[in-house]
Amino acid sequence: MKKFITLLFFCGLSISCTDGFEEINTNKNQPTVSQPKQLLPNVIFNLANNNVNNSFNFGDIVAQYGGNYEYNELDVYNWGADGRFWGMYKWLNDIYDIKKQALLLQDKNYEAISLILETYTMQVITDAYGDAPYSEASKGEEGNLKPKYDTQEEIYTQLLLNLDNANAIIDTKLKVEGDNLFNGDMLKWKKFANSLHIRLLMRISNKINVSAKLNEIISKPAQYPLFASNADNAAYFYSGSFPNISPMSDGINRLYGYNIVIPTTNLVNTLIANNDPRLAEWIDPIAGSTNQLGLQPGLTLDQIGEPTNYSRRAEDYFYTKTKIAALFMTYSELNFLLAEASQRNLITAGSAQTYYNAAVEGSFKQWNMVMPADYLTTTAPYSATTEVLYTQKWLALYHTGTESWFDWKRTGKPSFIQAGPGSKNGNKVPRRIMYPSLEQSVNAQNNSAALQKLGGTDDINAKVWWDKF
Amino acid sequence: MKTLKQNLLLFLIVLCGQLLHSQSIIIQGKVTDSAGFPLTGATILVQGTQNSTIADANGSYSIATEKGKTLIFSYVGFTAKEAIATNQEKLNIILQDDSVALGEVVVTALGIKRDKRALGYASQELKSDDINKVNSTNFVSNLSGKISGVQISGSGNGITSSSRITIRGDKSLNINNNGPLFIVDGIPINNNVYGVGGGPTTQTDLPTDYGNGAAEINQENIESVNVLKGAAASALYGSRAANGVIVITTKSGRKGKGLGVSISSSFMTSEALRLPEIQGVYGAGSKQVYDPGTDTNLGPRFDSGLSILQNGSPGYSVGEGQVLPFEFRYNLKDFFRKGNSISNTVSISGSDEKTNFRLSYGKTTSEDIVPNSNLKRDNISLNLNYNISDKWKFATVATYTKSASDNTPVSGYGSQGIMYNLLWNHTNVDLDWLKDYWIVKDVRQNSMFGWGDNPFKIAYENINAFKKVRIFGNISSTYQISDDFSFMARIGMDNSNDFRWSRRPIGSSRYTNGMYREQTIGFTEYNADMLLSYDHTFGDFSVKVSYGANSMNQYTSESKIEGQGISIPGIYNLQNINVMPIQSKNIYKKRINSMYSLANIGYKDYLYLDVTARNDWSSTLPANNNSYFYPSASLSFIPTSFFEMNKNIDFLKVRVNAASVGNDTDPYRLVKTYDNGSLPGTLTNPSSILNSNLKPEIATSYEAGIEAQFFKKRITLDASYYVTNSKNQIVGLDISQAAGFNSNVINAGKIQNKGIEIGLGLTPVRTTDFEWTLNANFTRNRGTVKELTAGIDNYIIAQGPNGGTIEARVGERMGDMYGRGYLRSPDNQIVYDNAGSPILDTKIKKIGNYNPDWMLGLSTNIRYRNLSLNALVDVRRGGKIYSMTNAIGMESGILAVSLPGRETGIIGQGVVQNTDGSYSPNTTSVTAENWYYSNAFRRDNIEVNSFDASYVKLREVSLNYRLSSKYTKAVHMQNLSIGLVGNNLALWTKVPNIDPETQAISGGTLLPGFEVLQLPSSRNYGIKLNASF
Repeated sequence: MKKFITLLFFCGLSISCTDGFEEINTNKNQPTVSQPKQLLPNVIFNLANNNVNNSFNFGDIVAQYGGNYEYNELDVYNWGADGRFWGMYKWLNDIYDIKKQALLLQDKNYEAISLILETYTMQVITDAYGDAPYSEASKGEEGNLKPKYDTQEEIYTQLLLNLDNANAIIDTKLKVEGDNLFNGDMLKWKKFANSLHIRLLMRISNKINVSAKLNEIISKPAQYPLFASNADNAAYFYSGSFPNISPMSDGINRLYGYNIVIPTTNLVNTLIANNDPRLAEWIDPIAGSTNQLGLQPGLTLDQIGEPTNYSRRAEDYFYTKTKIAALFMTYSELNFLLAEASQRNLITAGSAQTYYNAAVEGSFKQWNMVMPADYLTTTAPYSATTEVLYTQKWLALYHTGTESWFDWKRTGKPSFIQAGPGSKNGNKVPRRIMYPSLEQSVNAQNNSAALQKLGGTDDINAKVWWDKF
Repeated sequence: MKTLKQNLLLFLIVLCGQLLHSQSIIIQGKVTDSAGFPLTGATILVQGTQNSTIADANGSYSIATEKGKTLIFSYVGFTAKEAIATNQEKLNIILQDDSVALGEVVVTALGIKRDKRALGYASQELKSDDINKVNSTNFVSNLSGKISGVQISGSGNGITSSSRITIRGDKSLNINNNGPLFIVDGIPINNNVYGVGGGPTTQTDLPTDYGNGAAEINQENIESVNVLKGAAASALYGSRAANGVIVITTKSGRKGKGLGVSISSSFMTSEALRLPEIQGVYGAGSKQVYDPGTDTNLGPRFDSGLSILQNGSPGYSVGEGQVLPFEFRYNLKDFFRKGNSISNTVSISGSDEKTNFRLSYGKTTSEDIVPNSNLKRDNISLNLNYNISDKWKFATVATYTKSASDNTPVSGYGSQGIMYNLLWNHTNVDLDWLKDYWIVKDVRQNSMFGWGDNPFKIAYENINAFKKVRIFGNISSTYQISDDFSFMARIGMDNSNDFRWSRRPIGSSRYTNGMYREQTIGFTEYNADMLLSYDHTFGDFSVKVSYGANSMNQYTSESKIEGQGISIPGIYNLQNINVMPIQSKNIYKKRINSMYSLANIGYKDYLYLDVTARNDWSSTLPANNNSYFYPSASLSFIPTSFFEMNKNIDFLKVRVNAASVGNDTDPYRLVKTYDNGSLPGTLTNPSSILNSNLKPEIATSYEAGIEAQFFKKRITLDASYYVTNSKNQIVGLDISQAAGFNSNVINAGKIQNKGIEIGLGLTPVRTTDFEWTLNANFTRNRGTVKELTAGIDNYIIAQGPNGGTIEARVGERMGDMYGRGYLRSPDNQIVYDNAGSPILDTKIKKIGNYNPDWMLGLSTNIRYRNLSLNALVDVRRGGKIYSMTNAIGMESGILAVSLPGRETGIIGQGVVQNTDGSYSPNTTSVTAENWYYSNAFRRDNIEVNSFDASYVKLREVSLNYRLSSKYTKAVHMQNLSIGLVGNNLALWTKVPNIDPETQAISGGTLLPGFEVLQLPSSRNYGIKLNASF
């Protein structure tokens, strides 16, 4: 009471009316500072969740591994404003925070990790949308609330430099904390950086002559180590203990949500035709029987009929909480890229067939399976003239993020990826997704400038820069 | 009023005189008020003489006079009456309350009692009678339709539903900051809604509506509610009063000596007011073929005489179902039962020269129409006044409330929602079949669909319970220092502790491994204030000047622990959680210190000027900008006291005022902190860029009004026109996510609200035996967004379901809703594709506004002797509401409005675009499956699923009979009345299938304009008894 009276008295003199205010308005619920080892695991976990979610619910559809039997707007290309990859900017912001702190601490390894993750994140964003903010992104706290959209060419140029830089500064003798992707093993980060470099180079190979850089990377394994086996895969494995569970698994998802996507004829029939043991691993037969039936992609809802008449995604992957992994990039994919590079005479070392064989076998091992003895000789032997390389790559890229669709955009193969009878987009398969509608309101000028380059509208059929197919 | 002694003397003298007259007669009778209550001490005077008497405790009098003389009956606060003395046996007189003409006193800001005639701002009072006709489980809903300028909407989330209240429109871009301040006996009390759960479409975590804070006030304890509508009225309350103030005064000890007991009991039954109209023609399936696995009702006709094995029938889920006739069995009344509510309040009051007190105990038990849902409240209230001496008074009020519910359902869209599961059900299924909801107890439910929950299982096993204990009250003291100086000091507190727990069994559609959650919300606010006043009359001028200060401290703590998995089925406690729990505890503190002064100057009895000034210092604003000053001035002029006006104008007052009110923000918006990441021990950047340079908000308002009475108070009028501008609002504006954050906290916005309020009262008939009054309260408000900030033209105030939003766009109205709709041709026809399906436009458009164009509350009161009938009709015209119940009901084919075209197909009305850009009429037919289920009523087509929200409700009816005193005397009672009462009784609206008075809830935010599978509201009726001893 005394304090109150004194307070009232002094208030008249405007002196201590604000006594203790700073302490009262200090938020003790949360910390005001952070460290890279606290930010990094959350970034990786969320990039993994984004990868899994978009792989199962988007990548599967557009690359036609699966089809929705309800709400199939995605399948019939009735697309609207889409924020599914734009949300990754939040993680880009945390990555930027890690980079700033790494520079202050002069920690080369955290700096390299932030460059690699930044590159991966930005690659996904630009491959999905096309032009997008990059050089001005994550600068909200520095006052830039309306970042400009960089062209995809500008983005890729910088991404390639990032990977070179990361590769050069990594110190493999030291470990980092908070790394739930590679457990602090910096050599694996180096391999990831260089393998990702190969992916990016091949991505732009229709626009830029990437032969020199490709050859440089392959010919200097000491300076540019690459994935040597599935043990090097850039993949996040969930512990299966809440909250470390994949968004598609039991414990977070429900069976209904997992089964809403039905395996397509493309997937089922290709696997059956090849007598491919991956069929049994990935797909469960029609409930109550041993028959398989895939769903034709792109039908209208009333043409689909009952989900109980079709094969289903393997339920084991739903119920066993540790089975679904977030696949950022695999040893198999690397070898398919090199096989294609060799086939197109972009590299001199190695042969397309050797890379192809390593790639196919790598895929079986990745899924903990044994490749049939005659698979590479009889079932799907390498051929430079057929689509077998692309078909096998398509199979190997199952659930590797959205990589399958990105890659198809570049090559147009496998050619069975086509608009279905119910398509609302004519006979075209979309090449990009639309920018989120919020951008039209809050970043209107820059968004509008980007749309101009697409021909005036947010066109899902407009080709991104590297897409020359 | 003359003293007892004086009257007795006069009486004796007169009596002596009278005895000398030969024509003297004795007149006897009773003097009562219009309710029959005896007016003890009323004066009966023979006109032109000194002969007078007073009425006794029973209101009885006896006076000797001469035949033909005029008797004048009078009582303070009442209009005097005259009557001629004749040879009649009894002369009973009823006197009418005469409030305004003699200076009705109302409680204004800071608890200061003022003469209403002197107030230069709009305010409107409700008395105990006006509020207590019908008992309700939410105090705020009792005010609906009774006060102009006030918009109240219930929520349709079960018996604990919140009511959203705004005065003079939404002024703030923060949708939660639009409610008025609630004051009880001078102390602010908390009316917040604290959420648990996500948004209305967060299927994994639907929110529960536990109610708004003021809902638990016991209406029987209320003496008066005075609504201060504009800033001038509320300026003295500071920041939080920018949206108006509801000043509540509780009942005190009875005037008159002795002890009194009064009892009020109410027994009400409830049933759903409106249930969706279910079609009874087709059963489950698609394309008129039965399909147990589909959730649509586009199956075969019931009159096709089929007998099939049906999903949902007894034994079906364990493979032991039997073939049954395929017929219509679906009745929502098999789920929504009759509810009831029993409410009792007992109060004891007493007074003597020094003390008066009132102690009351109230208990309410209510069962909802949703099975297994209830609400229980107990409250104890004390009001004590003690005169320590002539100069020194002491008062305390305290209320203790305990509220609890054993279960209240979640609301919203998704497999956890009751309404959603009821709409995706089969019309051939009898809901009684689903009452047996376990296949394996606590582990596996008997659900018809893999994605959904059995609605009875939701009601009985998805429990959300709470127990809340609250104490609020204050201690105050006034000391009359001298004739002119007085001093008041007061300390008050509002303290509540709300413990909530929720559980979901294993096998629920979400939380397949079960869930158990506890949440505790503690809230405490202390207010200490003082007021030093000087009151003196200088000749024709009455002057009152006061100086005061206030210190407010607020402390909130919210803690939550949730385990999304339990090990032993059926055991729901913390020990049984078998996963890493999600847990948090957050504490928020805030302090505002203020100083204020006010001056009331009156000139004679016709001119009054009020001036106030207040300065606040808030802890939530930066140190260099945490002080804000705001003044107000109001002037009232009473022409009828100034010069002679037409004799039919009893009273006329003209008033104008201008005021500004400042406002601060929530705690912790200045300095950046990191949020917890998704994994334990991790951090992430926050989603909002905070701002250490925030400035206080400011709202300025202007108001003009008149108050008038005509024809001996047979017509009363109170009208106001106002303009309010709110600027510099502290708001998190959306920014490009590419900048790394979702929003940026800045000062922005200029919102203007303009409107009129009219209160009209009519008394067409007023006689001793029969009286008829009518009251109308009319409100019209428009809020416009004048500015946001440089370069920003629109701001999403709130996200609704399915892409619908509430947005503030520069140049448009506050409360506008946006969303997708049909693609339209230039002449506004719907455009179809070549397959006959309507095309959904990708661009969003304005759908409408969630506010009505105008509102009208009409009440009428008819009294014949001891019987009175009272009715209140609430009219809302205009506004729009998006109804997801209708969207889902169309998709599922369960609503009667989804009947057309099942067998013939449907040709949509509209056009197709030709390749050359022109349009031709659409002639392609589509199947009913395509039309209803897939395309024409998509839930993200906000336009087709939004309706004109106009409605008329019969909000309250009470038929009351007061037993006359000869009967009550026999049982030693003073008063006994019995009534048939009801509220929310009838609804007239064009909105199909739902009660449009509803809104969604998102966490702790009420979302008007969007109905997202809310539960039906209930119609309540019953008996009310009032007795006093």
